[in-house]
Amino acid sequence: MSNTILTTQKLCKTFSNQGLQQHVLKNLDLEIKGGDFTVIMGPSGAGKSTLLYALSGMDKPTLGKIIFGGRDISQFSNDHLALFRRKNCGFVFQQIYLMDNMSLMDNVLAAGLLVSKKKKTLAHEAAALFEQVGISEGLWRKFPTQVSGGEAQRAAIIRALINQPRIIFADEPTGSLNSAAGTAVLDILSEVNREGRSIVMVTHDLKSALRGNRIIYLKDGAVCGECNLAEYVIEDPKRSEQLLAFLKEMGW
Amino acid sequence: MKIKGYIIIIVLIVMTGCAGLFILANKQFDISLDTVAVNDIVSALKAGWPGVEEVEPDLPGLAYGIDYAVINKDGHLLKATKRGISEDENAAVAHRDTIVSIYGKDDAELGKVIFYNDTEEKLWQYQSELLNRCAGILLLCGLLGLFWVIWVNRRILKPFGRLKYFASNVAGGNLDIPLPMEKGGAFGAFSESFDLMRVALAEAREKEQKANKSKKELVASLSHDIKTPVASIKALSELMAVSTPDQKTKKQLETITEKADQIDLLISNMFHATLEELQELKVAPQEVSSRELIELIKTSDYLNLAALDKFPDCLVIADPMRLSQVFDNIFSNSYKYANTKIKVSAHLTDTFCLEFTDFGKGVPPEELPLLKQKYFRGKNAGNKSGAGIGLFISSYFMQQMKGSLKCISKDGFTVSLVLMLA
Repeated sequence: MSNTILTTQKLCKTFSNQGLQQHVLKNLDLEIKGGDFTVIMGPSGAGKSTLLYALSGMDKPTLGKIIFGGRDISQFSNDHLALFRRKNCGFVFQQIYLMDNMSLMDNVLAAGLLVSKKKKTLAHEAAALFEQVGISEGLWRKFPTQVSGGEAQRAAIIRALINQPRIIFADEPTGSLNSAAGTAVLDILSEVNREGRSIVMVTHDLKSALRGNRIIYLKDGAVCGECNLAEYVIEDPKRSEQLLAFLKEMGW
Repeated sequence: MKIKGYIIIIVLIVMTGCAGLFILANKQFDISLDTVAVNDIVSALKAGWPGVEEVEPDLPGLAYGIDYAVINKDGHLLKATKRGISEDENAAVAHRDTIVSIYGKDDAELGKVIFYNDTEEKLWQYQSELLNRCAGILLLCGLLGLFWVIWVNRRILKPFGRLKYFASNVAGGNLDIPLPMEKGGAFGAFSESFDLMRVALAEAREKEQKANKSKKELVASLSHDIKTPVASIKALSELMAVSTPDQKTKKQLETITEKADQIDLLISNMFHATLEELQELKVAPQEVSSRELIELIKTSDYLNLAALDKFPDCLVIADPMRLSQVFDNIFSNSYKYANTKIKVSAHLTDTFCLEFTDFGKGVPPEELPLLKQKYFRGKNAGNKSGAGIGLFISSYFMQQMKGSLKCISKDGFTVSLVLMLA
């Protein structure tokens, strides 16, 4: 077994509403390897986001274990879990969730200062990252409402990266963006993945899904099928053929 | 209902409180000064005058425990039993101390003794003693009250809980589980009559089942018996139809054959309908958490003989109502035939496997394959009540949940249930 960073054992999540139980995740056994780009797909209500929130420790599973770096995080207390998330996980959401009354840079620093106390070093790192994703100094001083959605989402990715997390969870990161901005965001995620960070992304979008090395198709809270795209490079047309064939088989 | 006990305890609590109050009220607060002691001290001082202020000897009358100061007629302090008490007349008046003059032989005043007023200290002492007693009485009443609550819980609330469980069992058609008797409790005769009702119900049901069974057997044997003559009619009419030259007769004979076929089919249907009546037992599998199974097992195990291992967490496919019927059956069998501890363990592979093991005599190997047969009862059944249908139905339920039931007899008797994962 090579560098597995995240495994689940019989992961179940049940939502109860006035005694009515809805089993959203059912006995999931998953394994996510370090440096992998995992994409979770599936129809609406299949439990994709629930799975992502459970994997990242934002929500606690009803049954089963989640083992992150050798530790069972499903047993952690809420406070312990928050500290753990802060250090090990980065999050990117569809709704971006930057704080409107802070500049892009301050948004990134706010996340960074929760873990590290050295503001100067952090600012340097953040500046380098901003440069890397093509956001100039003039832009990062602006407020989230003053920049485009794509730029804000790129800033959000930097916020996710600033604490050097081992894994990044993305919930439809391109869902609210136009095609060009979406591609830019995906390029960054691919680049981050090439640097060795694991990514777990939930998406409905074929173009986003093509970036993944491993596609997991979720249906009714269980893994319906898996597809490995690692052998093809991203530009290879066979990659999309393979993915389309797989999705067709799954009933996409 | 015997209400005497409850009343006695409440009366006891009230009486304890009253006794406490009485004790409190009885405690007198005494602030008087002992006149004899005062006279004694004054006369001793007079005898020793002058020279009171010298270091030796000590002031007289220390044994009385009264603090006082001696001043001469000019008002100067000569000596005092301790520091910090009133040392001149003004201070003494302000503090409501008792001042006694000492007169010499010629009625000339030698000086005065100021007896320190210690009412304040005594008040404090009295208060703290009062508080202590109050706390003691409260504690006693509290303990008695607590005892009463526990007692009520044991004697009334718990039996009600058992009654509730019992009623749900009876309503669910499970008449094998008795209501535990409350010897001497408020519910003694009450619970006994309920249990009598259960026994009567069970008997009535058994009779009804027997009647039903014999009726069905009658139908089955009748339909079997009818089949033979119908077959003869069919064969004969076919033979005649082949051999007759007359077209009209031939047609009539064919009609006879046709009708005989119809009768045959109807009889077959009737025969099968009686045999397949079990299909009416509906099973509705759904997704159930393994933790819920633990609860089901605990409610089925009404004698508390089961020792549960830790269950692996997962979701399984089961019908909770039917599964608890299966558990009830397994436990009541074990109670009936082994009556030992029951080990319940679970493990997870591709399926969820539950094992119930008791440490009784088990079942001889030749009977093992027959256990799940309808109406089969082992040799050890003796005169124990039962119809030999429990494991048959349990096995049927398990199959309907896409699982299975297996019996193993090795160092006791083991029932192994397999459930599919969701």
